[in-house]
Order: sequence, then structure tokens, then C-alpha cells
Amino acid sequence: MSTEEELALVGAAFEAAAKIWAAVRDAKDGKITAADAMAGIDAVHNALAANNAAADAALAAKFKSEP
Amino acid sequence: MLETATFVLALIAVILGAVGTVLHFIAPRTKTTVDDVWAARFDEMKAFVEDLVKRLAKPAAMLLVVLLLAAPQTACSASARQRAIATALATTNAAAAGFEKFDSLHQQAIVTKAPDLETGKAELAKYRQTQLKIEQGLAATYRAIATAATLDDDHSLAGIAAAWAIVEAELHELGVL
Repeated sequence: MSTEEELALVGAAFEAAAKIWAAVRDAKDGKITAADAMAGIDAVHNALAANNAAADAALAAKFKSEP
Repeated sequence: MLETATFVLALIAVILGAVGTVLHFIAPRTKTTVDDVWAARFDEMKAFVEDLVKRLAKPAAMLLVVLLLAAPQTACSASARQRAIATALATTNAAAAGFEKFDSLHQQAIVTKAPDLETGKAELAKYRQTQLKIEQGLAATYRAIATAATLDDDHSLAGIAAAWAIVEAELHELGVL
């Protein structure tokens, strides 16, 4: 893994940590419904499926162009 | 406030990225002692930042568990319970967003590193076992939040705390938290 990639991962972890910290700190009262929570399952699944598809396509493209 | 904190942390990451790239490109080529020293300092700095990430996220993750378990004991427990559920959802959404970004970058790194198609496929498949565990953990946490929002009782808050603890442990193992 290159230094740039390593740092991008550290940056992503940093951002995630900051967001979680802020989410806990700034949480406000509010009625949450079951539908609000269940929507998260689909959102995560779709985002990860998109990441998988992008990685598969990048891998295929990388070795298709090489002899 | 959220934007400010995220911006500052992202800025630090970008600065470290720029410094690291320069040092690691220059040091192997010039072979000067000064550059090597700076490259070594950079690695120390990176380790410090990684440690800082964990120190920053860990209390937040623990705070959520405390909030969930303490809510039933507070004087105005109905309001505290709703606040705990809302906090749990916001935190889980933040963790999911962070993991999605990490996941994308990590898979890109696997592709870049792959020496051939078969190895690349095998490495992606191996990583996706961990990805699946985290996805299932997040789904379990969302379901626990939905249950708590529907039942609105004290017992269901402990269910969120238990599900969140599993996700937090998985993310920690991966280096996200």
C-alpha cells in the first residue's frame, strides 16, 4: 500500500471518528421511528454494494489493459 | 460545529498526506540523512495520528453505551430514552458513513496492490468477509434501534448497546475506530 493510500485510510478513519464524536455530542431530542432506523440498513447495503462493484470493475480494467 | 471539527481533522489528514508523499518520494531518491530523518519523523507522526483517531473515537463509542444504559435511571426517563435512541441512530449513521468511505479506499488499495487478477479477486473476497461482518453488525444495530423506537422500553436500550458494542469491536479491529 502506498503512503498516499495509507494516509487516505487514516484520513477516512479520522473523519469517521470526528463524525461519531460530533453525533454523540450534538444529538438532540427527537422522536425516532422504526422506519428511520430501518432505512439505514438499505443505505449501508447499497453503499457497500456500489463500493464492491467499483472495486471489481477497477480490478477487471487493470488487468484487461495489461498484456 | 460538526463541520468545523470534521474540517480541522480532514485538514490535518491532508497536510500529513502532502508531507508524507513528499518525504517518501524524496527520501529514497536523495538518500540524504536529513530526508531519512524526516521520513522517520513522519512515520512517527502517522502512528501518533492513528493513535489519536482511536483516542478520539473510543470515548464517543463508550459515551453512547453509557447514555443507553443510563437513560432508564434518569429522572425524566421517557425523554432521556428518546434522546438515547436519537443519539444511537445519529452515531450509527456516522459510523456507517465513515466505514463506507474507509471501505471504498481500502478496496481501491487492494486493487492497486494486486499483482494479478486472481490474487486481486482472492484479496477482495478475503476482505469482504470482514466487510460482511460489519454490515451485519450495523444492520443488527439499526434493527435494535427500530425495536427500541417501537417498544420504547428500557430493556430495548440495552439491546442497542449490545449490538453497538459488536460493531465497535469489528471497526476497531479493522482500524476504523
